Amino acid sequence: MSLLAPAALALSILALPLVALYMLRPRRRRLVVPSTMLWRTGDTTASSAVPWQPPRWSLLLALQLGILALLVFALTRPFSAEASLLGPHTVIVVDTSGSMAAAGRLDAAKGQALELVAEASDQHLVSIVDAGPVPRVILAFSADPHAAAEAIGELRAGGGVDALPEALRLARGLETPDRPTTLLVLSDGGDPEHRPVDEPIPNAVFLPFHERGPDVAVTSLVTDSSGRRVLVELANFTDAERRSNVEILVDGGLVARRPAIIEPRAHARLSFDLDAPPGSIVTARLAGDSGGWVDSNALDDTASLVMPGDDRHLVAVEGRGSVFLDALVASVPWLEPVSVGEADLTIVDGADRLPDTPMWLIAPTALPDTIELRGVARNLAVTYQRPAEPILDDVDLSGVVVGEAQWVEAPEWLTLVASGDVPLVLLGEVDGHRAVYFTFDLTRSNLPVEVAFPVLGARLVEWLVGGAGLDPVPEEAGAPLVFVPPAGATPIVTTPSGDRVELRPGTTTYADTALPGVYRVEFRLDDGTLVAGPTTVRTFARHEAGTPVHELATTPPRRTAGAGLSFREWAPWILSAAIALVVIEWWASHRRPKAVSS
Amino acid sequence: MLLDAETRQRLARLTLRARHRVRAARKGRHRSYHLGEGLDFADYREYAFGDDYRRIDHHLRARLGVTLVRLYETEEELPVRLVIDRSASMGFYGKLTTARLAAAVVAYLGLAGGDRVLTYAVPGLRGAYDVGPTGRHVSAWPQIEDWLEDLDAAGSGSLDAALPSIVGHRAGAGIVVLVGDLLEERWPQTISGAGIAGGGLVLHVLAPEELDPPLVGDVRLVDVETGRSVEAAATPTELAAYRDRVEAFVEEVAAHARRAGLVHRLVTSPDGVVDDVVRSLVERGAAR
Repeated sequence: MSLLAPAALALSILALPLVALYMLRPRRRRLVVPSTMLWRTGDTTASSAVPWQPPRWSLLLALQLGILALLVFALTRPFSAEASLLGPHTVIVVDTSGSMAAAGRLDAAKGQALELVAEASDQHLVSIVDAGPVPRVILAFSADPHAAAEAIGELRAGGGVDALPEALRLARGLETPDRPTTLLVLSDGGDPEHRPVDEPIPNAVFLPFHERGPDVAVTSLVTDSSGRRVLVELANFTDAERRSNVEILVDGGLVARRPAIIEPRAHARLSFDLDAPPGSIVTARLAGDSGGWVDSNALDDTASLVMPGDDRHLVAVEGRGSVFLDALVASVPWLEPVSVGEADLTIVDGADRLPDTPMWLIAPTALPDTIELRGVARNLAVTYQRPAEPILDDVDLSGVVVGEAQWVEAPEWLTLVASGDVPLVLLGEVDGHRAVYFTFDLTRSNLPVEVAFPVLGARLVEWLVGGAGLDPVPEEAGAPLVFVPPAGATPIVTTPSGDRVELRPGTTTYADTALPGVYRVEFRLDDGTLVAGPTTVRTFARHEAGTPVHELATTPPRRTAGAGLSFREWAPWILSAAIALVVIEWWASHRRPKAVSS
Repeated sequence: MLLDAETRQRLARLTLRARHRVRAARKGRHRSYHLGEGLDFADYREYAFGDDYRRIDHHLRARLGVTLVRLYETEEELPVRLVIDRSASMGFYGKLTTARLAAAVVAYLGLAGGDRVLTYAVPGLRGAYDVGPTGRHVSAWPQIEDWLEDLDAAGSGSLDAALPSIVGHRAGAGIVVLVGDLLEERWPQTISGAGIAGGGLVLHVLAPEELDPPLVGDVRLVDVETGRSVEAAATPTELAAYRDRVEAFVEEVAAHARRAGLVHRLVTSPDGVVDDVVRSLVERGAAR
C-alpha cells in the first residue's frame, strides 16, 4: 500500500491539542448534595493551582484519537496496486449474439465486465462495444465506473449472429494514440465457420464464456406455396433424446399442439395444416418440456412468420422483351402479365419511354435524369456484389459475363453489381417510383442462363412492388427493417417486447432488431391517423443455436509502466470506518449515566 | 395515606416497651418510678404519718413488732417523643418520604399501645423545632398522619440543639424516637441527648444515592444546608473510599446509639420500611 498524499500525515499533529484538551483540568460541575460531611473527611482531589493534570485513560480519548488517525490516513489517500486486465484505455467488447443468451453466458460476461469496471480508477478509460448483430459503441472513453456499469447493465442478448469482426474493427477505431489500448473480448467465440475472425487478435485478451446447457431450438418455420401449411424444423443440440411439445399459434391464439421427439444431434420436422389468413402471424414454439430438462436458451425456442398475402401484381413488358423475361414473369406466382397501361409494374427492355409505375429498366435508350451515359463498355465480368445485400443473398453472380453495357454515372443510385467501375445493376428512384436499372441487355450476357437469374429477378420484382407478396422466409435478428413511409409520416415500430419506438418523420429504416420476433410498423400521418405498415419477422439466427463455442486466439497487449495494474484507493473505506467510530464515540459519550441531582 | 388499614391492624397488635421505668403524670401500662395503687407487690417500708392504714401488714406487725406498710407497683403511661429531622438535607432522594413512613410506624405503635405520642419537627419554621399533634389513642392518628404528610424539608438546624428542650435532662422521660439522616457534625451529641430520656430508637434515614453515589467526573459538591463546597473527583478509587466512609459512619452511629441505650436502624427506602422497622423493634426488645 502506498500513499498518494503523504504530506497529509502532518495533520497528525492535531493529536497534540486533542490530548492537551484531556490534560486540562476540567471545570468542575457544581452539584448540590444533602451533605458534604462524608466527602470532606476523605482524600478527595483537592483543587489545584495547576490547570493541567496527568493524562488518564479515557475511552473517549482513545476513540477520538482513532477518528483523527483514520481521517488523517484517509487524507493521505492510501492506495494499493493490484494486477488487473485493465489498461490505461480498455475497450470491452461484449458479445450479445444469440448464442450468448444460452446458459447464462451473457449474465456471466456482464458480471465479469462489472467486476472489471469496478476496478477502474480515474487512471483508466473504459470503452464498451456491444458486439451484437449490429456492433455499436455504447460507451466511449469514460473514466466513470458508474457510467460503465450502467452501460454494461443495458446489454441484452438478441437473436442475431455476432458481428465480432465488425465489432473488433469498431474497437480498433477507438484506440487512443496517447494511451495503450487493451481489448477485452467477452464472448463465446461464436461460430468461426460462419463469421470468421482474423486471429490472433492483437493486443487483446479473450475472456471465454463457454457455459453449456441442453438446447432444443425451432430452427425453421416456413409456409408452403399454398399458404395452408407450415413446416416446423426442430433441432436437438444435445447428446440425449429430447421430447417436447410444439405449439402453433395464429395471431397469438393456440391452434395446434403436438409432441415431438428429437434424436440426439438431429433435426425433426413437423407440418401443420392451417387456415391462417394472409398477413396473420404464425408462431411455432416449444412448450411443456417433458423429461425434466430445462432448455438453456429460450430465445431459440420460438419462431414466427407472416403468412404471405395473395395480392397479385400486374406486370407489363415494354420494348424488346425476351423469353427470359417472359419465363421470369411466369415463374412468379403473384405476377400477372398484362398490357402496357394496365400494369402496376413495368419492365422496360430497351424502350425509349419511362413508365409512370415502378420500373425495371434494361439498357433503355431513354435514361432517367439522374443517370448520365458516359459511353459503352465491353467484355465485362462481374467483380463486385454489394455485400450484406438481402437482394443478393445466396445469389452468386461471379460467373456472369457481359458482352456490352452502358457505362453510366449514377451517383444517386445504389450499385448492386458492377464490373470494376462499370455499374451493371443499380437501384434507385425515377419520379417517385422505385427503379431497377440494368446497364446491359440481358441477351448480351449469360445472366439469363445462370442459376441465380430467377432468384435475382424475383427479388428485384419484389423490391419494386414494395415487398408485398415477398418470400415468406423472414430475415435473421439484427437485419434492419426497411420501409417506405408516406410523405411526412412518422414511423412507429412495435418491437417483440411490446415497446413502441417512434422514429423521426421520414425515417426508412429501423436497426435495433436484435431481439427475434415480430416487428410491426405503423405510420402516423400529419392528421394523426395511424396507417398500418409492413409487419416483419426477425428470426433467431440458425448459427447461434446449439450453444456454439470457439476459443479465440489473441496476442496479449504490450504492458507499459503502470499498465495492467488497478489502483484501488482505500479512502472511502477508511472514511466509512471513521464515521462508524464517530457513531461509537457519540454512543459512548451518551451512554454514561448522568450525575444525580436533587 | 401513610399506613393502610391492614398495616394499622397489624401494628395494633404490638406495644412499645420502655427499657426503664417511666416517670409520667398519668396512668398507663408501663411500670412507673412511683409505687402505689397497682396489683403487683413491690416492697415494704415503715409506716409514716398519713399512710393508708389499710396497707399496714398486720401479720408482720404481729410477728416482728414493726409497723410496715405494703408497697405496690403502679403503671403509668409511656411518653413517646417522635423527633423528625426535616432539614433541607432530608429533601433529597425521597428521604423525607421514607422518614414520614418510618415515623408513622412508631407513632401508630405508640397510639395503639395507649402511649402518649408527642411529635416534633426539627428545625421548626420559626424556632429550633415545631411541636406537632399529641395523642394517647388511635383516635389521634388522623391528626398525626396529616401532620406527617404536611412536613416539608427546609431550613437547617441541629437536632442536638433542639433535643434538650424536647427531652429535658431527666431519665425516665419516656421513649425518644429520632428519625433523620444525622448528616451533621454534632450527631454524637444528638444521640447522647436522646439517650438521656431512657431508651428509644434511632431511625437512620440514608438514601441509596448517599450510600453509593452515581457521580461522574470532577464535581464541586455544595452542602445544601451549610453552603460549604467540596471538590471531589468521582474516580472508582475515590468512590470506593467514600463508600467505606459511609459504612464506617453508619456503624459508628449504631455503636453510639447502643451505648446510649437506643435501638439503631438504618432505613434506606420506603419499600418495606414498615416490616423493616417492626422487625427491628421486636428483635431488639423495643416492642412486643
